[in-house]
Amino acid sequence: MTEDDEIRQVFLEESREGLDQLELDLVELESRPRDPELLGQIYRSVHSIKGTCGFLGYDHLGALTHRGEDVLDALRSGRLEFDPGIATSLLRLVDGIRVSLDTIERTDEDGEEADPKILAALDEHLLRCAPEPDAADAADATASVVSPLQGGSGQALDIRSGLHESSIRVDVDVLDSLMDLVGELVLVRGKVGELAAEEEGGELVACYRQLRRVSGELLESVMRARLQPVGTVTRKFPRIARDLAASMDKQIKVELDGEDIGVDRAVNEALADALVHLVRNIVDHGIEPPSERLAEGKNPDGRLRIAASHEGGRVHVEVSDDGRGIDPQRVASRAVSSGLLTRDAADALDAAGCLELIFLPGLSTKASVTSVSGRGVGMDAVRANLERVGGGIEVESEIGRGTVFRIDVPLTLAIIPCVVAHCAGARYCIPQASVREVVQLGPDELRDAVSEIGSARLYRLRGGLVPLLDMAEQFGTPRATPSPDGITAVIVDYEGKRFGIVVDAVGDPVEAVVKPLTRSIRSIRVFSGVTIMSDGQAALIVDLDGLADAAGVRTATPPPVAPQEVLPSPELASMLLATGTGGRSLAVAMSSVWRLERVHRDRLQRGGGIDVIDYEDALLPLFRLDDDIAAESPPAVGEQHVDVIVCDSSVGKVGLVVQSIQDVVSGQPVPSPVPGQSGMARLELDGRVADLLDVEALVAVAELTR
Amino acid sequence: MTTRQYCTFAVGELMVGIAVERVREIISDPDVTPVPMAPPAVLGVLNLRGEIVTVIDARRCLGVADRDSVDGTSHVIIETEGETVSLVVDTQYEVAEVDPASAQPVPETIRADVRRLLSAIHELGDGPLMLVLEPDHGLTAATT
Repeated sequence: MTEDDEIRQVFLEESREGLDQLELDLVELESRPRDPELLGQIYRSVHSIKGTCGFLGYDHLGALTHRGEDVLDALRSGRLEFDPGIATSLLRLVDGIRVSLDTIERTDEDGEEADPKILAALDEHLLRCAPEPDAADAADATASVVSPLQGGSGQALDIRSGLHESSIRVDVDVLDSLMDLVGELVLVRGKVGELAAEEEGGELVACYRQLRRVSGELLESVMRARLQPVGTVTRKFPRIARDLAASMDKQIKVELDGEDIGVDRAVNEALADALVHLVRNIVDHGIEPPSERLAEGKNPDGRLRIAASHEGGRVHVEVSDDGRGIDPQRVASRAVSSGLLTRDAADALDAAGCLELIFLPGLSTKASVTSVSGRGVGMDAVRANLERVGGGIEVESEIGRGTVFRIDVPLTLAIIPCVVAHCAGARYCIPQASVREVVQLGPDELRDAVSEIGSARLYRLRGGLVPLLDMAEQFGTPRATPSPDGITAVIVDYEGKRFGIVVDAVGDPVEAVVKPLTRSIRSIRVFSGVTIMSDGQAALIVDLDGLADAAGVRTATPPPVAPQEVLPSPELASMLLATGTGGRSLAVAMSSVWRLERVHRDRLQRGGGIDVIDYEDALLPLFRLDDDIAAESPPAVGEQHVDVIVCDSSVGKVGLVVQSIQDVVSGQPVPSPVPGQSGMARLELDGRVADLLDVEALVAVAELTR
Repeated sequence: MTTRQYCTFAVGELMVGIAVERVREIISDPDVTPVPMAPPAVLGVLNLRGEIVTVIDARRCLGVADRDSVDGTSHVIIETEGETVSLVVDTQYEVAEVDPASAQPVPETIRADVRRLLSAIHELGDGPLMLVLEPDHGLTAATT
């Protein structure tokens, strides 16, 4: 490559990068037309392309950018009033520049004179300009940049300095084989390490240290080289959505979030395909025309938000709009009339089930076929494409309020920082993003802070009860050493649920390179990937969602309910399930549970008509949770201990005596009143029916009957 | 006469042959990471130069009693159904050259889930019977 070629290459890459930003800025300008900083930025982008064109002798492209610069200058000086037409013309200019850049790349010439329509449109805006305040100044400024003679050496310096920050294109195959080679290197490194360990203090040891450091850094660099910010995809959408909307006389504003999240290239490609379909559908079907929006009391500008986030080895991309939403009934009727579903089957579906139908092949709900999103092709393809890379998509919608599409893709081959947990001689990686803390519980803390009642093992952590699950027990592997001295627990927060994983020990954190699971292991659902540790051995990455499900810490899906039965604000609630002294299933909201205690019968005292115990320097009133909540019968004879749920209430702490503690579950409770009993509501949770206890109502009833 | 070549292995009392062109390589004594909660035939996963490979026990696939120790076992690396698996066998024998015409059908008396993996039986000279294992006949499915 000659020096000229290099300069040209740098010019092309920098200009293209600049155009991406310019496009975003122009769309942004529509909402902030008078922002001098933004205008300045746009002006500078166009200006720098123009300047380099002059230097490299691309006259046609130079003329094109010059015209754009004139319009921008007029906007900047206030001689021209901004309107959407100007934005369109400037965006066309960006397209024109792109075409020229492509031509330059192919032929080294900037081709024919620029599209006359683009120039004419820009000229039209210039004609409306107020006269220039000082024409001579403007001409000077332009000349000083255009002339290669005057600006020559400076320009050359600019271009060379760009070499340091610019990127080069690398074939993905090269990256793939680099990855495999580094993997092999790491294996050999492990073997060398073993040899070095035998030869204490020798030269080999020093060499091995060096090898370890260099290969470690190499591995990391290769990994990072494969990552691409999600923004390379999402940043295209403000422009795409704007143009689509404009073609349908709609207005739309696109908000982006999480653009910096790095994902593997392949994942990004799958995301791009899915998002194009979604955004087209949203602009075409979802967003209403401005008049309709105004009539609905909405902002005439439709809102579209594309937000990416990263959780536990998955990337979530939420695409939400504030459009008209999707009518589940219409989707269902459409599916029936298209012959995809029988009427009876459709009637049996709830609202969410109806919405799911949009992912069926051959379904389109828009009455008319439009040029933009066509008919019947789309959502099924979107889902299929995402599933191909191990992802998925879900939809939620409210009529008149908008729609949310939740895309979820794996970070295949991405790096996730992980905590390494040792359990029964094996190592497991737990995604660090979900790890809240690691706690070491000595014998004292085990006694004081961990309640082990029935099958539930709960750890009291700063005012909340955290269910503990034993990894060795869950995995069916024998624990290497029984732990009389205490336990180590990794406390994790995953999708709103907190639980602790009891492990043998926790090692140094690692940057785990996620490799996809093989088919037979994927079906276990407890692991999300495999990684290769520094010694070359494979280690499994724990899927917290799957682990929690397998251990029954949380319910996979709330029980299906008919729409009219849904609570006004359905929230996931965490419930303690217990069996009452009368054998009845009871549920107490975890938020009101203070502690679980097992009390020796001898501690029970009689006072004021009810049982009490001495508890934390006060008397704790006890209620037996029998069918008759105010029953005065003593606890069943023969039991040495009674289990007590200590709850907070408005009159202080109260104790609920139960036969046994069952479990902690979370889910969406579906209450219905229990006839004739205050303080109780029947509730279905995790497929089990229990009576939900309202502690306040219980206390009130007890006060009355005293 | 065109003959076919098979890599042969001992799996318990059985002699199993896999077409040579299907065997990518044979390794011994790699580090296997056990996978909890996996189907019984899955012994774990291993790292083969950066590639993650499922380790499948040939004994369990073929309904042979478990071995006492993994000492002396060989890992036969095979690509099948889009993934790479490592089939654990007891002892590696020589390559056998057989006449396809001498193939005999797999008797019906063999358990269906085992029979499915086998395509033919060859008598090697006066020696043992060689069971021909077809990796594509659901070797990975046998583990789910």
